[in-house]
Amino acid sequence: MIVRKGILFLLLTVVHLFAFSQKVTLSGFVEDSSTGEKLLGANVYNVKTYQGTITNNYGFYSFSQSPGTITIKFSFVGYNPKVLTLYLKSDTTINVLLQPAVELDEVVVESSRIENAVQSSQMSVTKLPMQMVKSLPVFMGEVDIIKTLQLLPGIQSGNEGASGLYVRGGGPDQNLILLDGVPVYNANHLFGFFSVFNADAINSVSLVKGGFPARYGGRLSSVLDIRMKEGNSKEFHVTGSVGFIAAKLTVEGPIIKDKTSFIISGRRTYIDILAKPFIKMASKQNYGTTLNTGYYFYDLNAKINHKFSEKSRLYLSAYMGSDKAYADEIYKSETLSDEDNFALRWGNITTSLRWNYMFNNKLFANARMSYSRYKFDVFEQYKSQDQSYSEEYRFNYFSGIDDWAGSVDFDFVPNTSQYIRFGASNIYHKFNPGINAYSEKRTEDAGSNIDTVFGNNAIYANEIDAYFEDDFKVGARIKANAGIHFSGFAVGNKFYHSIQPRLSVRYLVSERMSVKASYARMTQYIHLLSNTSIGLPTDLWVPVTEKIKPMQSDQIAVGSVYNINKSFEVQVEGFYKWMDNLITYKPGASYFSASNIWQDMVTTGKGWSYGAEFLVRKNLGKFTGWVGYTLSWSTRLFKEVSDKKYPYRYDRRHDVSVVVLWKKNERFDVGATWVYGTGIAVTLPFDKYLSLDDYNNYLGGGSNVFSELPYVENVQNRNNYRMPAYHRLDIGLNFHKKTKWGSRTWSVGIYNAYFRQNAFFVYIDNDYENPDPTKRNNKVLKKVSLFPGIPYLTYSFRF
Amino acid sequence: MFGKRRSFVFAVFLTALFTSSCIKNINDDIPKTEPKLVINGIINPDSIFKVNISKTVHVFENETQQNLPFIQGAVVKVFKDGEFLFNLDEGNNGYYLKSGFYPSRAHIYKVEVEKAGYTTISAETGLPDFIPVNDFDTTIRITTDYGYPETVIDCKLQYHDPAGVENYYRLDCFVSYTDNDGVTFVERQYVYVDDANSHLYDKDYSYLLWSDVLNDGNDVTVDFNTYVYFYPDENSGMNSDSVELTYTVFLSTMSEDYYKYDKTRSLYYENGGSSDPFTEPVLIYTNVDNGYGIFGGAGSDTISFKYLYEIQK
Repeated sequence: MIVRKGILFLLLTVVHLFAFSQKVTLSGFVEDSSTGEKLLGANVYNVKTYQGTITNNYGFYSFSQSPGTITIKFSFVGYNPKVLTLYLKSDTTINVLLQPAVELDEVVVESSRIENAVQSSQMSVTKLPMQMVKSLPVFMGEVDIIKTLQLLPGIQSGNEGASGLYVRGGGPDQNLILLDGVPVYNANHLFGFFSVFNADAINSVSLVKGGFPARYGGRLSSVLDIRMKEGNSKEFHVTGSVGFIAAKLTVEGPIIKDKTSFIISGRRTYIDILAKPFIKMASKQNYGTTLNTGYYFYDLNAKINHKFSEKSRLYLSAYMGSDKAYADEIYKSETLSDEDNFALRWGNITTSLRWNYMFNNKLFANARMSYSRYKFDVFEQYKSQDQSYSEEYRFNYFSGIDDWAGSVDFDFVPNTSQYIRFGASNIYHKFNPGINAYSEKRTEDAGSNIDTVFGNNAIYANEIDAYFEDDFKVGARIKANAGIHFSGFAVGNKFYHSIQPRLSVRYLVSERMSVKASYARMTQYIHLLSNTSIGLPTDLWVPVTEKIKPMQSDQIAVGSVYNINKSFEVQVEGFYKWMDNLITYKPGASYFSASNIWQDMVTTGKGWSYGAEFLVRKNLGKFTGWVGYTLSWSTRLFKEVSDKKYPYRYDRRHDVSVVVLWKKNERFDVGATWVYGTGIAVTLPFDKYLSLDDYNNYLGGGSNVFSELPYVENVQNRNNYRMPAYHRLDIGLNFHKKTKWGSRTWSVGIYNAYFRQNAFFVYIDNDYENPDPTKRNNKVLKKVSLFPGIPYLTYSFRF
Repeated sequence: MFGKRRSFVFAVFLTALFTSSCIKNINDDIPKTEPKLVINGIINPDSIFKVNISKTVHVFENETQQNLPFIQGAVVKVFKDGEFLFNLDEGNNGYYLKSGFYPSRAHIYKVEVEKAGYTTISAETGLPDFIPVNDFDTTIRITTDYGYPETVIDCKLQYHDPAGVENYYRLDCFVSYTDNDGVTFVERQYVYVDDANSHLYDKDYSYLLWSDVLNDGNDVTVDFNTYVYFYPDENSGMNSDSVELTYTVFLSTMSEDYYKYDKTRSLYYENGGSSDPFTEPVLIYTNVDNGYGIFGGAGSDTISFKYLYEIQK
């Protein structure tokens, strides 16, 4: 019923569009004057009426106006605004170049207020300015956008140092992570301690955690939309950095000035290279065995774009990243040679070919073809040979997902009161949930040689999506974003489909304050069989099946935004989310056996999450930053696990983050962050009891004596124990200098400045370290802590 | 095999990560909970009615044979089909029993345990149908799977599963021998199934556990094997050239509660309790209201066979 009413409402709004007439349309692109980069989310508005719009994800804007003279202001945070007075008598296209501001002064900030958080109909959205991301203290010298997002209310980090995203009580698989519109399936390097996104190649980051516009679908909890830079179309630049563990280099420039530009950015860790001589030295003393072992990760972003005309532009972007851990052991003597090679590799590849076309001043289109792959691969080969005999074993295991996708999206701006988006997409998935290959060769008994492939069969599925979304004004105070998202998923003989209504409404109380409310239903057709504590590369994407239905969530949110003055902004939001068909491992399932029959290892259940988020932000002045606080509850109910509701592992009652940036001058700035979170909920036994004595049962029980100590630990419910609260202070200092050749920055800082030993996990064990030997058999609770204070030093340059 | 290999690899990398980490005792101890009563008892028509009553203890309590938390002086009432029958008599080591009373099928038995200072607990169960072994066959073979010769006994056990009712099964094997002094020793004999059949069982290591969900109403063959081992007790004075080993196979039917308890407890032991942070914790099933443990029903048919083991000297 609600869905039908929603459709009717949308039809009425479409009809309403054509009631407007006698308007001229102003459209075009807003760009950075020094690089030619499109500015996404820039404001374009009539300074008299304050009517206006913002640029879309391709920097395109369009709004209609009565014919005549108008004064238009173009603005974007971090750029000097531009005011143009024009006489419009017919549809006009104007591309505007904004100049980056040297200092973030009052004018720059204030001018970007027209379509700020107060005005926007969308709620629960966060945009990260990349400059701020780079100024904050970092872990091991690596700037990480996901770790910065974790500092905002409603977004949690999961475990110590991890790059996972836990948004409003959702799991790490419930986030749609898009890089230039293409899903990235595993956003982790090094078991989740780093994310795969190289900040030097990123143009913009936005995260939606509720009130999802209809254009988004496919995941329950958030959409992280990351857009790569396009490459400087004016001149060549090289940016780079060298840190403790990794080095980065970015090259960008025009191929044909103002027409074709490129960017290529690479990053690689080098611990393996630095450690190589030491490992070699150590292994030489090991009875003739040479050991070569190491670990590294790299990622490479590349993009090229070409402007055919003012109306038509083509983008080709690609990302590839990989982690590799390897160990080679070689033994050689006069008579025998033994070689054992082992490698573990995982990584993503994404490619996207996009074509923007402006049909006219009101209609903009983007068509995309893309490919995304995540692959995890284990390889082991053993060779042994002496004078008369040789044998060779080889084992391969791989799992992953391949996506081929196509989509088309339209932006239609019929008038200043409406912004319509519609489109459709199709993704063809290939899931490889664990395939093994094994071969065995011997010189003796060659007849018994083996060469075989076994494991789970590949699963093919097709996912379709279509949406219609209208952002419209009703009078001066009400603005709404209403839409419908339809999705379908065909797997085997089963076709699941879902109609998902979306609505977000803003009521403008005053120019400085608005209240908002939203509702969104989301459906997700793919699951991640995941370790719940750390991001292992074995985490396996699997589709819904006849047995396992699609996950679904419904979320309502209400909130308010208030600009206290030019500097301070306050945001408050409350949310309630309920989720169905979530999956979790059955009791006793081991994460390391994810390649077994996965459907038998999981069970489905429900989840609830609710809470309130508070954000006080200062955007202006030498001191900027924010204080965020989240009060929330998140519970799960899986009947096969427990007949009672239990807290989700990342149920965090209190979550606080304080972020402070102090910019003394152009040469020096300091960033500090402090985070506090209620301890993670883990499962621990509080007591134990005697279990059944099988000997007595089967052999008559004549002795009436327990033959052993068959205690079992009693876990009353899952996640019944809270680890100690987590808190940490990070401090970073940046020293900038202009040089003859460009500029350089020294960044120095410390992660976990007061050496807090936060618990990574806890377990029960004997008190082996007790100085009193009689107490060493006593049981105690132990915690494992990581990263007790890690300093960093990074040198960055740009010319 | 590969799962273990991967576990090892991750363990190595995680260990490498943790070399910069530290392990500390947490002073914030695990909360103390009120002790609760525990029932452990499986009734069957061939044994007298007997249950064990104990209590929960804090997880840090030291474990010794001397301080097992048995409950003395409890009142253990037995009800049959809702009617009070009698109180059980207290025996040794937390056992409460009724000599001469054997439970019978087609009835529901309930026990209620009262003890001052504890919440009263209760549980009820019935006895499952008796399912006889229809056929049993063994084959002896020598295997060198592990690089040296071992004797394996392949067994085929057949039974008929009654249609239309849920049945739960367990198969155990024990081996016994008598030494020169006439003392009989009994030990559990581990049983195994081939990898190809392991999906048929909820537990396929040391003993087998399964339900009839895949073969309701069918004639069922259980193929399993066991290895011949003989390690005489040091004090057994075995000095003969050979010893006769007697193998006894139990095909048990179980009440549903007992099956659920056994399944979760097996999982619990396989995963090493709470010591493995990479395994989802197991909550052991209980059918005891206000307490823990299991009060279930079972019945067994047994098959015995002998094997003459030649002692290597």
